Amino acid sequence: MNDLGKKHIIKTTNLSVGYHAGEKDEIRVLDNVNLTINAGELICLIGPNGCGKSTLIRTITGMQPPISGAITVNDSELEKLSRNELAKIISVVLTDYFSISNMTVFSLVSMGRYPHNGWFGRLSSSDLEIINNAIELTGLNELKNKNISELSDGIRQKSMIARALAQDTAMVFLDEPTAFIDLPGKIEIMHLLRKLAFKTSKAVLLSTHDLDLALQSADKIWLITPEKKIIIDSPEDLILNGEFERVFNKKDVKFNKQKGTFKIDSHFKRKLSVKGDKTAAFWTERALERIGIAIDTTQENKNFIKIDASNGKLTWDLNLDSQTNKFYSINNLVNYLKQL
Amino acid sequence: MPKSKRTKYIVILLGILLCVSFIFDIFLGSVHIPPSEILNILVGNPSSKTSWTTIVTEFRIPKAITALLAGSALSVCGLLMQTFFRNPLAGPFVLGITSGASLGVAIVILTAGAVGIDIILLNKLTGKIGTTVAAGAGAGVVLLLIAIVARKITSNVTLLILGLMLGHLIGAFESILKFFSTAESLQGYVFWGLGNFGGVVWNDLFVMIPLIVTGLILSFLISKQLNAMLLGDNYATNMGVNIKLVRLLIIIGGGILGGVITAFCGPIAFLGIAVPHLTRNLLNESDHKILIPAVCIVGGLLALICDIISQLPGNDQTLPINAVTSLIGAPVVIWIIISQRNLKASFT
Repeated sequence: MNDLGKKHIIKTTNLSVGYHAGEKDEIRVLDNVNLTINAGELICLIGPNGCGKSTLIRTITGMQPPISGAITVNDSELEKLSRNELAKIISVVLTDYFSISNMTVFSLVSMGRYPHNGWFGRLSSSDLEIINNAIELTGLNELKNKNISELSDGIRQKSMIARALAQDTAMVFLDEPTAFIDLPGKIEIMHLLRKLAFKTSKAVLLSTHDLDLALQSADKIWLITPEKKIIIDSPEDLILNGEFERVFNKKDVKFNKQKGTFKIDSHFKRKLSVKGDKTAAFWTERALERIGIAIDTTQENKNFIKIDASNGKLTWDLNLDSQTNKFYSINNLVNYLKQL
Repeated sequence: MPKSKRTKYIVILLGILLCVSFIFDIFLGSVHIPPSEILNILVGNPSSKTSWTTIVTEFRIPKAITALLAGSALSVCGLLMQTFFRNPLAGPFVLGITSGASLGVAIVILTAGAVGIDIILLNKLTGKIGTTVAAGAGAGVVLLLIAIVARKITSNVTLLILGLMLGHLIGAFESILKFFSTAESLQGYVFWGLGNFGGVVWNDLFVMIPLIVTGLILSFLISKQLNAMLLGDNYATNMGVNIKLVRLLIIIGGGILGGVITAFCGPIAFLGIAVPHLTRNLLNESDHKILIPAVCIVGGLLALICDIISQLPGNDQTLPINAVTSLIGAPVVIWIIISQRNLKASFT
């Protein structure tokens, strides 16, 4: 991809990441990694379990030394930066679990100022302004005096994001920020991260297993393949050129290019087409696919379901082998079809 | 009421209680002295019996100061250990600090006994320097070991287990020493093991006060770094904290606080574990900048109360201080564990 003219926050050159096992042995996880992270970008790092995501991230954020190669952060070498200097450029939200019973959201977020405010951690008025901005931006204003141990996982995650924001860095890295959070919560967090990348022109790098969400919100995807190569592209290009499918398809799980989602790969016994109200048709098709019926989109199939929404109530007319049956719910329809 | 105001009121109240119990501790003792006479002595007037003056100035005042110092030092040491290991049951006993000190004392008392010198004679001969140096050296050696290991081992849990195991090893050495020692020296050692605030004289205090104050100031100076460590090493590192340096400072600070008190007073049980919990819950606070001074006050207060109870007011007998701290401390720890079901989760 052409990144000319943009400001690199992080750049890696021929980087090898891995770890040392014992005195001499080194285990290389990823080789020849050349990556750039630019301001205002939302990057999702995805790849199957055990592909080296964490090792890569730990190396780029300076938590673990590289085996070989160079990492430059804001045009200076990572190794030459002190911990505190690095803390002013990269902030993290990790999966490390902790819960301190007597800490408020505000105190947690204010810890983000630690790299900036001297040995004793006194908060100046500008520190307070930055903390309050971070709390505002993450929508935690009402909860800032609550103890974090009393809050849900989603709110905790937001507090950790607010803490990273208060650190006021050019880049925020988040390790699986949507894990263990319910679906609306996941979407809310991704939306928040998008907003941050856009509004504060921070670079946001996150690793995730929520592929649907990654495809929807990332500017760029770093896809680690089973061959330990990193493919960098926009999510749409990765789908169209088939790389995405190749990496993630399993025996019974297939990626649907048209819909951008994963589906359980059923062996279809029957084909039906669905006509009528669009929303109802969408959910009817989902239910049919689940029980192993393929959807015929040609609309010329003699076997079809017609959804009628005329009387304010939904009804399903199943035309199958020149017989017509009427159903009043998807559940009834599905149960009938299953018995055939 | 806003939290900061509430905190302020509670701390002031605790401070007043501390002063009251400090005075109360001086007024009580195994020898009955009328309160008016004690007041006389305290303001510098001669009392009607010279022995009363001696008891108050040479015994009760140093003892009250010792209780205050021991309570504060052990509690702050416990707080440091709990934050460092992120484990609610950590205290001065982990890391083998107390055990190291005990071993030093055991070696001195029991080998002296073997060559025919008993503990009282030994203390007379060396002015208690023998046991004190031995305890300090024991605690120091163990801490040095832990510090060396801590450079290699990155997991605090591993370090915690190592500390505990080291404690057991040292305990085994002690048992062997005890097995081969004379009855008299064994008695002296057991007596030291019961804990005692009353054995400290002014000369000891001149050594103890600067060391303890140094340890407390050192702990207070790293309160920001301790706060960051509550989130775990990774977050702390990302917030610019030099983990290795802070670890070293915690080990030195904790070692001074725990080692010095153990050297002078014997192993004092439970204060170190119970007080940090009590203070955190009382103030609903996790900021070490507030917690460390507050823990000092609560620890000092609790130690003074324990000392007052050990005098058995109205009686001329004195209970071993360790029995009293355990009687108060153990139920407190049990109560905390039961009332806070998420206690374990709140630290891992």
